[in-house]
Parts: sequence; structure tokens; C-alpha cells
Amino acid sequence: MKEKSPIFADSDSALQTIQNLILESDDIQAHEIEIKEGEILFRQGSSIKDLYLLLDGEVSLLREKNKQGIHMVADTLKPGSFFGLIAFVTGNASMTTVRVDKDGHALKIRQDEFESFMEQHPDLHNQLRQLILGNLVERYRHTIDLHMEMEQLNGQLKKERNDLKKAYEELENTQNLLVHQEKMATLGQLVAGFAHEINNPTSALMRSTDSVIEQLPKLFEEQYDEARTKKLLFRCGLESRLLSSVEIRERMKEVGKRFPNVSRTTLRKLAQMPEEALAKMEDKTGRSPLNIDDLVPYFEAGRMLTNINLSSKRIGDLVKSLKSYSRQDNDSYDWIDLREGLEDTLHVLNNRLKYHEVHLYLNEIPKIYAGGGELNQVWTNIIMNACDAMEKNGTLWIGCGTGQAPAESLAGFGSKEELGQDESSPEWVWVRIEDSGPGIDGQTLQKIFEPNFTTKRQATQFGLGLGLTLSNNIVKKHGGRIIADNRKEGGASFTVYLPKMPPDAE
Amino acid sequence: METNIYILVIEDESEVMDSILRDIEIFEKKFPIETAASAEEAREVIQDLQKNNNEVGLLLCDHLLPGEDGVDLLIDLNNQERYEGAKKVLITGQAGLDDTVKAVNEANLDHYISKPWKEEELQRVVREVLTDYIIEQKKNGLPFMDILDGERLAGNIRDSGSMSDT
Repeated sequence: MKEKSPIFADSDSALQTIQNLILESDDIQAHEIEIKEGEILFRQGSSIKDLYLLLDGEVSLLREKNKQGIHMVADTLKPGSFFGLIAFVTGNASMTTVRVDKDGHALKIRQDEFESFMEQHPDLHNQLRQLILGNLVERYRHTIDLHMEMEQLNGQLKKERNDLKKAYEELENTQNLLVHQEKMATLGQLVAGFAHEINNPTSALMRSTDSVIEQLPKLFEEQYDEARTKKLLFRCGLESRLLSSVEIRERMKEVGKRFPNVSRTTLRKLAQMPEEALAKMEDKTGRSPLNIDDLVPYFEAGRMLTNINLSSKRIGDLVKSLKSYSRQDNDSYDWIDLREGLEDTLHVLNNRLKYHEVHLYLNEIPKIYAGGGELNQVWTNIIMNACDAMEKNGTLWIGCGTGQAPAESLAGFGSKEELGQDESSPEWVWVRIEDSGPGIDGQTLQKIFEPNFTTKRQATQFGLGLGLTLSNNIVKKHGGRIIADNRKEGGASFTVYLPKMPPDAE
Repeated sequence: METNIYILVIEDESEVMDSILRDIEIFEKKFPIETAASAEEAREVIQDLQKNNNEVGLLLCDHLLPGEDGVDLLIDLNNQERYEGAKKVLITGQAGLDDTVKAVNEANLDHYISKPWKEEELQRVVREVLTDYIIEQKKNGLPFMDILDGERLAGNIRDSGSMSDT
């Protein structure tokens, strides 16, 4: 509460004069009363018959806030203040309850005797008049101050409310952005892997095509007795399969003995021919390198066309898998066989899984009504996490079935038939993904589905640790649940349970 | 026995290996080619070559291999005195920036070719680095003039002031 400044310089002196008058006159003194701390002089709402002037001590004006009798301090009065003044002047009931805060004295004059009392004591009357005016002006000024304070507080409140609103909006935006970034990071990885996958068959394709274009014209030079030889070599080329580096090296040693005069380049090509073709070559060419080099292109042409075929097929399969994998918008649900989604996912992630072993235990499961694209995200997330946890040469076990998933790890089973099916609850389908990594430590396992912002992967790839949170949300949306655990033998184990129908489905 | 300068190609995908070989066959007249599908196999091949006192002039290597990475193999070989001078080229679709920087700084990488490559580019790079090898190892450039960079080899012969028969 602000210090009240004296309204008139005379307030203090007026009070002093009144004090003196009281001392001089017994009559006036008779109206002096003692007031004790805690005393209630009058209550809000009561009609006042007296005017009070506080001589010394302190009183509070209280406003009742509600029926429970809780009071709010409207004002605190110091000596020289009147109370009961408004009621006295207007004749209305008192607006406040007056409670004594500090012991003191007051001058109490009854309303009906006020006039005559003033006539008898004109000096007192003058002083009182001054004080009354002073009090009223003071009260008025106080009201204005309060009003301005209220305006200011209102303004502050409004600003704070706007700030809060803005902060909330920013938070929502940030959250959306993070979820989006997580999706992009996952997508980025997928695309990088896919691009590399596509690069290999594309390279082979391009190089083979150029080669064939070169070699093909030579096929059109027909010399009768060689025509059949050429056709045979061409067919052998078409039927050939690629040998490993080790196999080629060994064969080169063997074949080198039969064809000692050929160049190393030619020898490498002969090493990839089947016995049928080699025999023909020996027969027709008398092992002379010149003739051999004329005939080898026919085998090569056949071989290259097969390469082109295989590579094109690989690209076709990859693109098909990617289309199937990413399928539709996440909003479209349909009756799907989860095994297809799992296989599409594995195919698309082939690059990532290249040096790991993958064991499948995909038992018969009924179709479930679900979002294929969304669930593929879940499989991708769990499998990618597993790949990150395992160094090279790890193992993945993936199984599915109805009812209850096995308590033991899949590795203990030789085949999916051995795994068997739990017929007891056919409305549920489970998918289990286990890895041979280091497993998940207890603390992390507790909070594994909570958002966790870490840069956990290699420098070229990064995620925001929201993958499992998103996956969990997707599975929950389907009315299912994910259980994260560790295998007894070490490594992580994720089981996803899904119902045949999601909740709220038509 | 005459020692040969070998080209060693290290690539685990057979079709890609096949394609690379077809592109660099033109050099096999003077630089016999050996192949390996892993870093481990590559080391075995190098051992064999060493037994017969052959040299490795060029290592043409993919990065993503089963077991040891291509970059790690190149770094290891670069630290061996015998193979420090061998030319090292990465031909890959999947070396991240960190691995590439490692290869440049620690393996003394001579060139980087990304997949898919163009025949002319691969041949040009091989020709260039093999020419470098011949010059640096102070070999007689004459036998190689038709399949490598004849001009540079000739210039080198002139500058070094030596001419000799094979």
C-alpha cells in the first residue's frame, strides 16, 4: 500500500487541534472511545448511526468476498481518517466492515446529535469540516489510483495470454516438424539404400548393352560350317551363370592347361564357359588363339543378354517392391496379409541387410484390416534399429502367427512348422522381430517408446529417436500393442500384436 | 621369370565385377588383372603375387564389402612399404563423406569413381594412374606407350635422359 500523502498540510494540525479541544472540554471528551485490536466497530451492510474519527491506532475497512465470511482489505485507515463517513453523508448502509487493527482511540458522534454538537463547539466544527473534505478527496484519489492499477494489470494479463498462445503454437509446430524430420530421416536412409541397390544392376545393364551393340553385328557374318558352332556358343552364353572370383581363378588355371596360348583376357572368358562350349572350341579351333578370339564374342553376346535380362528383372522387382512398400497414403486401410508387407520391407532394405543372416518363420496368418503403408513403417523402424545395433554379420529372426507369440526366442525353433500356431485366440495376429545385437539395457527399456532425441547412428545417417514412438502410435491406432524385450541369449526382441479389425472401424 | 605389374579389382557383386573387367580389358595386354570379392580374398591374392615377385600397380576397390571395408584395406596396404606406391582408386556407390576423407588422408587415395560409371571415365582414370605408376617407379616407359599416356611417358623418358631396350 502506498504511503498516503497529506492532502492538506492542515490535516495533521487539524487533528492536533482536535486533540487539544478534547483535552479542554469534558463534553467533547465524553465522546472519546477506546478501541481495541480485533474489535469490530460495525459490519458491512448495517446502517450506521454514528460518525467516527480515528484519533490514534489503526483500523481496516473490509469487504466480504463471499458468504463464507472471507474478507478482503479494501483500505487501512490512519489517525485523522473518518469512517462511517459515506454512510453518514448518504444515509445508505455501510459498504464495509470496520475492524480495529491496533489499539487506540476514536471520536464518536451520533448522527442525530451531530448538528447540535457542532453548534455548541464551533472550533471543533471547523476542524472536522476540514478533515471531512480532506478524507473525501483522499478517498477519491485512491479510487482513481486503483482504477489505473487495474488497467495496467489488465493490459499485462492480455499480453501474457497472447504470449502463451504464441508459445503453444510454436510448440505444436516444433513437434510437427520433428515428427516430419524423423520421417524424412527414415525415408532418406531408405532412398540412399535403394539408390545404391539400383546402381548395381544399372551399371551392369549399361555396360552390357554397350558391349552387345558392339558384338552383335559380327553375328551376322555367316560362314556355314561355323554357324552351328556360333549358335552353340551363343546358347551356352545365354544359359551361363556368373562365377565367383575364386571359382574363376581356379578354372583359369585348369583351362589354361588346355589352351596354353591364349591371352589372359581370353582365358578368363574361356574359364566361364561350360564343358560343352570348351569341347566345341577345342574341336573347331585347334587351340589357335586367333580363331578362339573370333568365336568367343558369340558366347559373350549370349552371356551379356542374360545379364541384361537378370539386371532388368532385378530393377523391376525392386521398383515393384518399393511401390508396394510405400503403397498409398497412410490413411487408406484395407484387408492385408502382413507377410507381404514384411517381404516387401525386407526386399527394399536388402542393401542394409546384405551382410546379415535373416531367418524367417512366417506362418499362415489371416488377413487383417489395417494400413499397409503405416505398418511397413513399423517393420522398417524395428529392422533398421536392429541393423544399427548389430555390427556386420549379425542375425535377424522374423516370425508371425496367430494368437499368442512364443515366449522363447525364434532361434530355438528349426522351422516355422516347428514353431506351430496358437489356435486359442484367432482374432489376434503377432509379428516378432529379434536380433543378435547387444540388447536393450533396463533403463532404456522402460522408456523405449518415449521420444528420445539422440543422434544415435553413423555420421551419414541420423534420426531423432522418434522412430519407436511413431511406431507405437501406429500400432496403438490399430488397436494393437508392441512389446519390447531382450532375448535370453542376448539381443533385442520386439513383438507386435494386431487385432483383425482396428477399433472404430466400419 | 619376368615380373608383371598387376591390376587388382576388389568387388563383391559379380555383375559389377564383370562390367568393370570388360571395361579395363584393354590394359590386360601389359597389366594382367586379378580379382577378389572381399578384402580377405584380396590379401590372399596379393600374397600369391608377392611369392612370384609380381607388383601391384593398381588397386581398383569397392568400399562396401563383406567383412573388412574397402577403405580400411586400402589404408592398411598403404602403410606397407611394398604397396605404398601402388595406385589406389575407389569405385563405389556407398562411401560416406567420413570414409572418403579417411581414404584420401590415410590411404593416399589417387582417385574416386562413383557408380554408375562411364566406360571412358574408368579407362581414362586407369590410364592416368598407371602412367603415374610407371613414371614414379622409374620403369621403362617404352613398352607401355601404346596403351598408356604415350605423350607423358615420352616426355618423361626425354626428361630423365635415359633410354634403354626392354
